[in-house]
Amino acid sequence: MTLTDEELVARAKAGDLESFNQLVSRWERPIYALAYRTLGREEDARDVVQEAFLRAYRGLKGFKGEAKFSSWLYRITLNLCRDWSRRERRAPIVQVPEGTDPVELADERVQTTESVEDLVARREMSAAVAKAMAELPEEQRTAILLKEYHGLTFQEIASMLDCPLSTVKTRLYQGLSVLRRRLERRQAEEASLRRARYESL
Amino acid sequence: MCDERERLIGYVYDDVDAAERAVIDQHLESCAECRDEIRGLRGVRQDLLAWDVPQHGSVWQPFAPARLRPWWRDVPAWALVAAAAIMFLIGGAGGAATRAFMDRPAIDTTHAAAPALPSAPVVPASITAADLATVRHEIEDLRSEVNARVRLMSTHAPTQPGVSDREWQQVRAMLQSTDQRDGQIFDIARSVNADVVTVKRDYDARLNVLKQRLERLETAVAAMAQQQLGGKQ
Repeated sequence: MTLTDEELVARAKAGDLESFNQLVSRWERPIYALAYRTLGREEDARDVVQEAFLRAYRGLKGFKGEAKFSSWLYRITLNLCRDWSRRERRAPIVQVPEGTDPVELADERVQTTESVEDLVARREMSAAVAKAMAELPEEQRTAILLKEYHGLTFQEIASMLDCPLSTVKTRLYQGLSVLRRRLERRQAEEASLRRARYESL
Repeated sequence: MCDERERLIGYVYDDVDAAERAVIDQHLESCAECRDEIRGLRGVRQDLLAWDVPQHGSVWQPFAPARLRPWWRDVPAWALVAAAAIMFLIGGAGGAATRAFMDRPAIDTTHAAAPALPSAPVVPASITAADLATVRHEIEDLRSEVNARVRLMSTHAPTQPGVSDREWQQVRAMLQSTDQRDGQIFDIARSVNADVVTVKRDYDARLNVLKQRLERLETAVAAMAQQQLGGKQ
């Protein structure tokens, strides 16, 4: 029988460590993804995830269940990421994705149905998105992360970020518009390069 | 609509009510710019899907279930000290009695390769009046010490934090029982008019009784620990 988050939280509050372990295993991947996309560095994301769950465990008694457990975890994680960035005094880093080695790419391709060309294109797009996101203001980036990658409702994001619902929509619209312009410009530059290479042949 | 394009966000994420959707649909029929905007927002959402998160193992070290605390960890320290002191005194009394009444083993020098040493003084097998007086004196001392400890604890123990009157009564009963045990050892010492073997057999039998009582004492301390645990919860 699969227990809900609320049931596991109740058990963990009563001292059942295994229930808390289950909550961690259920939410570790999304929390890691949020931390990684916010900070841009794997080792920082790992540290933040560990700290986030430790804080959640320590603060479990104070969690009243007014918000979803996942929303509470997201909020803890975002606060930690903010503290982390301030402490390190740096903007999110764009980590160059691994796998530019053709052999590695070919190995990865075996496990998927993608062609090497598609895989290269996807890797490049991933890096381009990461770079464009890293350049966004923090509040726009956070709104996009929560909506796009974690599927939160506008209302949940508004509650988590302590701002009106209309502000969430504005941040999303502005952020997506900036991303759109940057990614379209990149695509235009790539098309221009390809044309130049073709004409030089 | 063209002046408040944030309204399109709900439409793009399919998070608008029917009335709002109808208004936007109607507007899009006549506005190419907003149609382009919707197309662009959907396109960028598609691009965002390309952003991978690297594979990673779990960074969490699962909590292990807490180890069960042995019962004696929950017994107040002063009770443990008292029990240890009592055990020490009983052991001391037993040892003194044994040393006094048992034959000491003779040193066998007949097979030794080393040069013969002056022979050891012969230990008498019978008990002299002086031996008996010594043992009595030792046991009286031990008895006095136990009684002094009981008095000391009667004075100080109730001020120990977290110790209830009932717990204190139980410990006092425990000490009283130990006092009786000490008295039994004293009785043994007083009955040494019999020969050493008889005393030894008698002593062993009584020692067994004492051991059984000690087990009951330990059980009582364990019960106290449980009670204290129950009280805390």
